[in-house]
Amino acid sequence: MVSRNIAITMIFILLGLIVSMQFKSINYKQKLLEPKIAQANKLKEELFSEKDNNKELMQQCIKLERENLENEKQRSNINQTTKVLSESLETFRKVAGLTDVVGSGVIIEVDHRDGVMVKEKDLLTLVNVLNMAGAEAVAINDERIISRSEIRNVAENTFIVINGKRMTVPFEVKAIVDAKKLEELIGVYSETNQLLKIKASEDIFIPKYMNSVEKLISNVEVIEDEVE
Amino acid sequence: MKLNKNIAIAVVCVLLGIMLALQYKSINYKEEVSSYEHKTLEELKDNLLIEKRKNEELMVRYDELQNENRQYELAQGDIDKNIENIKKDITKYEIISGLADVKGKGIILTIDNVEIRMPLEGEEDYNFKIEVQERELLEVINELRASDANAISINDERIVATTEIAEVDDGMIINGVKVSAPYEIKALGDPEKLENSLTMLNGVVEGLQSYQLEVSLEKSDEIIIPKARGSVIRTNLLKPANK
Repeated sequence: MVSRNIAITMIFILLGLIVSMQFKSINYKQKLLEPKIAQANKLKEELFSEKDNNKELMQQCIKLERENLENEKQRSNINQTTKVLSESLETFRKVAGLTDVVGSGVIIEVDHRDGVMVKEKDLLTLVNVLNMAGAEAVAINDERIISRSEIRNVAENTFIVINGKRMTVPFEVKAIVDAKKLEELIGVYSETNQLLKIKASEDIFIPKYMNSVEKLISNVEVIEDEVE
Repeated sequence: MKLNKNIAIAVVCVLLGIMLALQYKSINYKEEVSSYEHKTLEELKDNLLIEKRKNEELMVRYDELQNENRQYELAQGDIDKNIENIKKDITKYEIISGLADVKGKGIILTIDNVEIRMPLEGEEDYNFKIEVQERELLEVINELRASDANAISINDERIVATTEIAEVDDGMIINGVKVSAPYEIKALGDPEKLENSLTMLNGVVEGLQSYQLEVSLEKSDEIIIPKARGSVIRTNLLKPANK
């Protein structure tokens, strides 16, 4: 009889201990998470406000671009000289990669496969092969590749930076190019090959280069032709 | 009496069991949640950095567009000013597309193949050649671009967006033209900056030298880089996009 009472008492004590441990641990958990949750919330707020900022800036840039386009049309209509010069301007702008273009070509998806990671050399090689096939415009994840575009690994291959913009797999490489010519050449590059999925299309849209242009011409002086 | 007591004991035991299980679960949960929160924090910080960078770039772009806009206003009614502005813009785009001869400060990087001759006893010397590879030239160009080189040429072939570099017997095809070693790579930009990025630890020059290739680098105050030949530029597949 006594032993049973002792047993019951011990079970109750144990129960009490465990209940109090449970309460303590809930408290402790909350204390640990509180600063982290607070920090995460603060970061989320900053992130949203920065994204909003960017959206707003983007809209303003688009508006200014449209205005400038109008101004340019008006300017070209001033007289015959401005008309001819403006046409020339448009051509140079197109060649420089500063206009949106469409044409027939390919969409190539590049991704890590079978444990092999996509590196900057793979994208460099791919753009090179596209150029061998006569590509006239190339974009990677909507970043137009122009004469000044870099393709760089950062953060131990996790990110690749193109035109100063960070991006990661999968990479969508669009190109306006003769798809048949490309097919003939791409087989040679079996190293890059395993990372690729190619799809031909009649209607590839390739956006213009979006960054600032002034910094692309610093330190450079044009040598004027002797004969104008 | 005995039955009630037994029921009481049974209930307590069940409660005990439940408490023990809960305690065990809460320990697991705590660890999972804190690691999840940690990863989310890192991702958030990364995403914030990306947005901030985008913001900086957008601000620069915005200023530039505003400036362009102002130019139109300032030239209102002045035909000559307008013509001058168009010509200025043409010059800008000529440079970017590689269609103008240019000059400025920069660097000249020269890479050459190496022939190694190993004399063998009682037999003919063993010769072999270490040659520059296509991929190495691509990497050099990439590094130069990342260091803000605004014009680049290899053996006087202007490197533009559509330039290909194809390794062939005894050289490379660049812009449809064959060139051979030594490869003289000229780049316009800040000579210090260009030299530093090319020669940094584990950088491009070190990589080339580790393959025994001959590499030399010089800075210069005036380098001339020719424009790309007309045939290099192709645009017949491109059609203007209507948004």
